[in-house]
Amino acid sequence: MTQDQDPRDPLADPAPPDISGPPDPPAPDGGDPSGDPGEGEGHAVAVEDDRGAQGDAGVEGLPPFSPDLFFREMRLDAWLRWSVAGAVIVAVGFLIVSGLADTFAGMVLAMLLILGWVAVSSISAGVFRALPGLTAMIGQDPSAAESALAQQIRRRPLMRWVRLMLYHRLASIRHRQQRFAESAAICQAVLTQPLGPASAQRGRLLLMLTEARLQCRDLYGAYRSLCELHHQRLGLVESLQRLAIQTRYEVLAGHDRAALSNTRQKLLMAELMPPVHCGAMHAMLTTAAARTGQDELADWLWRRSLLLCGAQQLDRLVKGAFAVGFVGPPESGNLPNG
Amino acid sequence: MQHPPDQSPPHSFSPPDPQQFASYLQQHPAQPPSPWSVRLPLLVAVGLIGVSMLTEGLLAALLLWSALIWLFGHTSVRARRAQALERLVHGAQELAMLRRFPEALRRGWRLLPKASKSPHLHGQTVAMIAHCLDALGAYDSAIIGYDYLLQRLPPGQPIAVHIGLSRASASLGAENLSDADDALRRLRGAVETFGNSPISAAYRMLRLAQQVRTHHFAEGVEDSGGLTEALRPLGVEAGYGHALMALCHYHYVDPDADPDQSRASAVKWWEQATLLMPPDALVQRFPELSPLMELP
Repeated sequence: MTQDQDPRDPLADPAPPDISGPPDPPAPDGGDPSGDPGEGEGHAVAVEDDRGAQGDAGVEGLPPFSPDLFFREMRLDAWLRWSVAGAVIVAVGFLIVSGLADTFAGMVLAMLLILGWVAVSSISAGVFRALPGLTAMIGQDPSAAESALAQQIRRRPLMRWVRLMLYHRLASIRHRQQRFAESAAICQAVLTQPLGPASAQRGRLLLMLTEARLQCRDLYGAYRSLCELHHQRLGLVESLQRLAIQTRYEVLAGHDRAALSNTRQKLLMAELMPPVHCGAMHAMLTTAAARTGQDELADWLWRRSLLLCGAQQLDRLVKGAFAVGFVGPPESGNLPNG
Repeated sequence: MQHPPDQSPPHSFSPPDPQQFASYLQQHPAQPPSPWSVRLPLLVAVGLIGVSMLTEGLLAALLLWSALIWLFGHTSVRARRAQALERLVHGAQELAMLRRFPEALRRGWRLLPKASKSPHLHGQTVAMIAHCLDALGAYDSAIIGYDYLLQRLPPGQPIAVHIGLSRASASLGAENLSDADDALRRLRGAVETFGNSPISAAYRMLRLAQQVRTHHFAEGVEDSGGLTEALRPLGVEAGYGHALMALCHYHYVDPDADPDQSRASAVKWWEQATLLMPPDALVQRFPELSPLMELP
């Protein structure tokens, strides 16, 4: 679908120059129009804040995330795996040196070693098979998903990438529970590790990290992960998520002209999003247009977002869910149902 | 003689006709791998291990290790091939989402024979091809694809209801009005269980399109209550519904009411429709909307 033919399209006005690369970093003062302090600047502090805010929310499932514990678990897994591999190599070497390799006893021993290796690998295979079920559960019941995840995460030895995928699911649960600082800390820790066969998840982890940092008003952190996202090969769905997150970052950081660059293309992409997300994107662009004095565009975007989301949903978005310091078009009185 | 769409040069692209699509589906049906072909690598490995147990010396060790290497190698190659095919199907679906329908159709057409060994991917590919044909206006061909899927999906499942609605929409597009009416009647009960969802929104829009196609404009106007809210899950495509309602008001003649009021309502709905979608796109999908182009 194209909007080239629409004579009433206010986007026909000359648009600001397109910025194809990542956005500019925020100003040294954070550039946050809402004036919130950068509570997410240090993740350790942010995690502490989260723990305090959530109390004993993780008692039945998993304890609050600790980077030290995470890295210790990774080391323990690696140590166990290499120990098993070392034992197999030593045993094979012994069979060859002792001349038992071509005897029946040697054959049985070799089979036992292979079976042992398969048994160790089957722990990771079992956890890997449980991952899709966990993912589905996160969408329906995050608490039940956390309990199920707690059982899986305690198993060892696991292959590194399988354990990293479990932590990816933990980050998703924390994100859903709105424990954004903890979610960001988990994503950051997972991204420091080589993801191996799970490297396709890197983009999703970065998206979650960026969103979590934005929620914590860590604009500089969000900028850095956005830059990294621009170097990732993303699918269509992830590209749409990146567009929404980048727009939100730009509006939050006060880069309104960057948010409005190439608006027509951005709106065509936004139309592929679910209606509520599409409406939220319109509302964010309304803010940018209103702040840059493009009242006609702001009004057009605002009317579209009202049709896409409805007044109630838009009210909820404006008052809290995306919290970009919403500014509506002049005649709306800055109220969602205006 | 069959001419798959990818053999046509881009400037003379024409979607496959219903017969072509039906015979292509007949040639490449979903064929899940037989249980024996799944077990074959394991049987080969067990056989090699068994022979190695009966043999002595270096040959025994060689057979044992080659059995294991065969098993792991075969499994890993098969998994990689399946992943590569899934990526290709996903890529074609992304093209369809981006509304690059001819390109998506070409890719889907090429992929269908490869996808036949995976019923899941085969179904996705057929659905994507049918959707592209529908979007390109080849409604009769699209119906072949939808029918193929509906025969294989358990009724009442969300995906089956969704495809049933797509089929009803294609029937309306092909002017098979009685066929569309039957389909919509059959789906009514199933749709009611979905609440305020894209499925019920699509059903509401199809009912409206049916009322317009059958010139029951008064019925359309009577059903206009809560239409904006009901169509919202469709996103910008709700614009089609707003435009159809504008047309109902445009043609509706209420002897007791002021004709200017009907016109004002038509203008209001048309404004909402064109706020969501460009007028050209609206008229392209529903040519009967063309009189509304003169509205202010």
